[in-house]
Amino acid sequence: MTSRVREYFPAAVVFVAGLAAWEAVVFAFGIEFYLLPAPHVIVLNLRETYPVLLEAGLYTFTEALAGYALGCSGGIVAAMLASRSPAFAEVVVPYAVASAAVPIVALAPLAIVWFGVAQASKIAIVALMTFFPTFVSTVRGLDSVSPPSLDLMRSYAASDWQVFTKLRLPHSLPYVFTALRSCTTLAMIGAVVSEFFGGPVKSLGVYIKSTASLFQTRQAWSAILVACALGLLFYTAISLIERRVLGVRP
Amino acid sequence: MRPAIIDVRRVAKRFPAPAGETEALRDISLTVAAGDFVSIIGPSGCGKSTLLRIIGDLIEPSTGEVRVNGKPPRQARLDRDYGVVFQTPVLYDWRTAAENVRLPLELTGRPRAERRARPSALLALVGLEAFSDHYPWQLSGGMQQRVAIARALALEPAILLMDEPFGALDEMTRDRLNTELLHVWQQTAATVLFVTHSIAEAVFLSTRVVVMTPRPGRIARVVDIDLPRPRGEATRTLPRFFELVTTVRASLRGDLAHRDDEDGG
Repeated sequence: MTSRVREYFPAAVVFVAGLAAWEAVVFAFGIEFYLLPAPHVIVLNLRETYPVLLEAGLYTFTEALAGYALGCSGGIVAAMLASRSPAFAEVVVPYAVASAAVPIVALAPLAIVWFGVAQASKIAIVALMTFFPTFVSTVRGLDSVSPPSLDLMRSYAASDWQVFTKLRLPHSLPYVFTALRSCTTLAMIGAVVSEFFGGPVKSLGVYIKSTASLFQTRQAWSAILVACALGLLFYTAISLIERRVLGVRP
Repeated sequence: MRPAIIDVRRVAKRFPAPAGETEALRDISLTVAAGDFVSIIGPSGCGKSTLLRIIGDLIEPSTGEVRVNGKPPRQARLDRDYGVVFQTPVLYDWRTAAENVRLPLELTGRPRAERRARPSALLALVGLEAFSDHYPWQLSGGMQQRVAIARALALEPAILLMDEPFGALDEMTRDRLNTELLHVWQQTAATVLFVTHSIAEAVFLSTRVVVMTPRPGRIARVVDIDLPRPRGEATRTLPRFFELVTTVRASLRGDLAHRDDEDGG
């Protein structure tokens, strides 16, 4: 336990020092709160508005989670198919890699046209954003098994299916979880930013956009803080699952 | 004369190379009797691992024929006649030592009781019973290779193919594992084909040592090793041991000298 404390101590110090510096700068230079509210102002505001923000946060988080589940599971399944069928992989993998360069959020306004202003359009964008990284990473994991480990399977006359379940799949898990972890933050970003293009008032993206445009900066900051907290929670939850599944691999 | 379990007839192997082809093996003929411990020794790149891989049906010869137990190597592989130990341990790092040894038993659908009991017995055979729940990275290089040997023995293969299994280990560990390997070999009925570039290792372990020439690999000489058994640390101090080491070394060097002459002329 003490080693845990020691591990996080520097980070905690930086966090507190950062807040203090922020607070100090705001007061030293007399910055107006509508430009940059001091941290304590945000905290006070959060105490007032958290019932609203929590509802909005859950709404947005639901989109992120649903899109994430769809996109990641789709990516994993597609990667398995690609690994089982080289012909399929030859067609799909180049596009998947190229798609990493496409700003998928730019499709958000179109998604609203197609799927409506409610959650479906955001889920679609998040699913699309998380699909490709998961797909590419899983393919790499499934295909990066070493030649000797394949020789070993061959020497035992293992079937293709056995090579897949006993070697490729377990070998790919660290790669899969790396993608699953980075996709958590991607999912939150995708959901919030998609909401900037339209959505119900009780969503984080709309709340941030409307309060910011009215110079209600402390409200906007409070909402951003909630988005951060939810993103962190999501990330931590997946990390814990990763540790459970992968156990004590190096 | 015991029956030949491995029969290699006029095998050659050529690999595609940037400029034409590389000839790895030329006109290899070799028979191995059941229960023998045969080492293949030669300079780096002489194709000794290639020969082992051809016999184990991991690759195919360009020409020539191999019979294993009277069958083509492919059939022997499908019949699980082989246990292979590679240069690296090739342990799956998401499996414990016992689970790695269990892998071949799972692949062949052995009964549950056997899958549970056999790994511990095999790990005991290689002196690792206390480490069955350890993961590969928690084991030293020598221990990892012992796990690989236990795994190779899991299906009681007729033939154990070992491709420089101790090449990456320090000499003391290697000597100890050599003694252990002989102990294991005597407890199993397996025929061992052992690739190495250590002369002392080849002489200490084998019933016969096959000396190969530099590329393209041909068989320069087969040396019968008539050291008494059981062999142990004392074997390494016998005059006969040194004689045989000198014979093998001369066979290796003799051919190299011959080749130098050719190049010079």
